[in-house]
Amino acid sequence: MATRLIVNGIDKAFDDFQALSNVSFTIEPGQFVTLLGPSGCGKTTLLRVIAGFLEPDQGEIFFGDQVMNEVPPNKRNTAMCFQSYALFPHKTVYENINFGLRMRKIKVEEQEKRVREVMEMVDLVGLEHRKPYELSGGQQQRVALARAIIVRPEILLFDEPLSNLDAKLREKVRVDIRNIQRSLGITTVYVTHDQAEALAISDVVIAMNKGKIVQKSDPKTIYNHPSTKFVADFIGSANIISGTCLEAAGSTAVVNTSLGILQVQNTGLIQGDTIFLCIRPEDIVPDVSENVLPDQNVLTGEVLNAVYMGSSLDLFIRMDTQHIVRASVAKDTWVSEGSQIRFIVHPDKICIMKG
Amino acid sequence: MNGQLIKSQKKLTRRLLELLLPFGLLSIIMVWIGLPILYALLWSLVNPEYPWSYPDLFPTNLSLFQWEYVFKYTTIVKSIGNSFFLAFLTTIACFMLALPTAYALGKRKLKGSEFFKIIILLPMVFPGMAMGLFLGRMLHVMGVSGTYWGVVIVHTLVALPYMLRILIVNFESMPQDLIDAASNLGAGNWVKFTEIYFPMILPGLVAGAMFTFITSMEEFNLTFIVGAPDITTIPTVLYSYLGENFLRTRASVVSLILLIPNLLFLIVAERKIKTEYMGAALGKM
Ligand SMILES: Nc1ncnc2c1ncn2[C@@H]1O[C@H](COP(=O)(O)OP(=O)(O)OP(=O)(O)O)[C@@H](O)[C@H]1O
Ligand SMILES: [Mg+2]
Repeated sequence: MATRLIVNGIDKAFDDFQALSNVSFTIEPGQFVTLLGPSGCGKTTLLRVIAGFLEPDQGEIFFGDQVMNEVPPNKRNTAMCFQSYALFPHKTVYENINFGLRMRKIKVEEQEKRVREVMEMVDLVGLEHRKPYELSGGQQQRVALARAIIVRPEILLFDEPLSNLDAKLREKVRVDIRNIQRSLGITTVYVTHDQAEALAISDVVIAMNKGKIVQKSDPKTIYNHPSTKFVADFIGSANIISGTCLEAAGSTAVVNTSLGILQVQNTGLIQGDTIFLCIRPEDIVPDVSENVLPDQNVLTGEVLNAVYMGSSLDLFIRMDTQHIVRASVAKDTWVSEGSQIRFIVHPDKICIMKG
Repeated sequence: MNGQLIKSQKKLTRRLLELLLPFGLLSIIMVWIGLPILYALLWSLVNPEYPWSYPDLFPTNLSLFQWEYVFKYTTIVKSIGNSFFLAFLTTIACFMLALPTAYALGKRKLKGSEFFKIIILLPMVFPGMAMGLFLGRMLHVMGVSGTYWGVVIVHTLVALPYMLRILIVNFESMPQDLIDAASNLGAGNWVKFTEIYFPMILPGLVAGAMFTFITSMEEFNLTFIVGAPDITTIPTVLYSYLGENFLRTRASVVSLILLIPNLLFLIVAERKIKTEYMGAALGKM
């Protein structure tokens, strides 16, 4: 029943600004895919092309094996939750949420039941008869969300649906969205700015930059093995350093970096390659023992700042080379600012990126 | 201590200002609008047997003689009927013409919309008389002068630019996302028009209709050129008392007759707009 979504070679320009260039990907039936990327990279534009509000200059959209390019938006059976909410200002909350069901000629009792369910889910009970301008920003956003989810379409499109909610509610609604989506097997494209959210709920994360797709992977892969500097930097925080390969033999390679000489995994490097390395702050482990294992990178530096983050302690460490490294260590680690620290980075935890 | 005193003094000043400002505005409005009306009312009630002349501050004897005369012995009743009928038809015609045009120019962003928008406004800057003479000739050739059709056509031409302007702005300020959201949820063109476009431009439509109606009710030049002598309206009757056989008392009666329905219409429409549609028009988006 669930639908496969194929986006094939989409180009879209506004005047002479290329908003999407050669965007292609496939989303398997029932998958939950997140689009992640900086502001203005074309996420909304892509959703609008999928929903049919914008005609692409090039390329096709398939739902299953049907080409959708010529199908008007009202015949596409998608539901979109708009970034601008796009609530009908002259209709009440109830009428807004119910709109899609009414268009689909669902029985009235069924309509009422489903509206009640979804209003409970997004915590709007009691506001049925308000007009959108009588709601707070977060309440308006939840109406927009409810209005899209309720129709149970083939494909759900979310454009930052939770951006205006407080952390607690966001987490609850996010889980609810995921449960509904799973139980009904609706293929879903979800746009967010929040990379933690993307990693938490997606089957697949697609990273976009400047109208292009940079990487499409499952959350673990995209976090641990970002394919470019952009992805490493955009998703999570990362120490990105440049380096030159000194020696590559067998399973390990030796790289000269701005942190010093490091051993890394050999991913087919050739001596003389210039590469970028990504080290996640939480992969930097303070070393208290005296004995050093031969396959570890052991480094020392001076703690410039120790910032208490609640769940962790973030250290900014200045290396001998003046390069500053960020480390995220256990919250009860005892360090004082200005002291020397010795730490370990396991070669497996260093991700190598070309250019 | 001292600070508190100054504070309370400031408060007092603000209170006074808050009271004075509306009061001042009200007085100006009273002088501007109220006095002429009062003046016309008094003149319309003057008894012709006891003329109102200097140095009397008020007429010495009031009577409804002029009112009776105007209703009994002139064409005023028919003219009132004509005026309302013509204003009604003009409003309908403007609505029918303006709605699709404004949609095309405001929403569809056709090539050359900007140019058309300026063309549309041109009639507003043409002197009425100049346009009237030319139009009168044209309508005469077309064989519609002296008919209701002819008068409706010229009234529509005069009022249409205002109606168009208001509706174009309405259409332009409608967020595209809203229309897209409706299509996305399955709405076809009919539903989009009746449930989204129409309610959202309703405030503009009411304002435009109000304006058209009043413009048509008050139009003299073109009505006279095209309609006279077969079609008389309240303004043409009024002007006939302002010419050579100037009769201030009778003119006062007719001008009040012209004023009252407009005033009522304005008040009712204003209230309606406020309560029903302002919310929708000003809703936070
Ligand atoms: N109708 C339009 N006309 C011209 N340029 C447009 C139009 N719509 C979008 N753009 C441009 O296309 C680019 C992509 O816009 P888009 O709305 O898809 O960004 P986004 O990734 O959704 O950003 P955000 O995260 O800020 O919502 C932007 O640079 C934007 O200025
Ligand atoms: Mg966007």
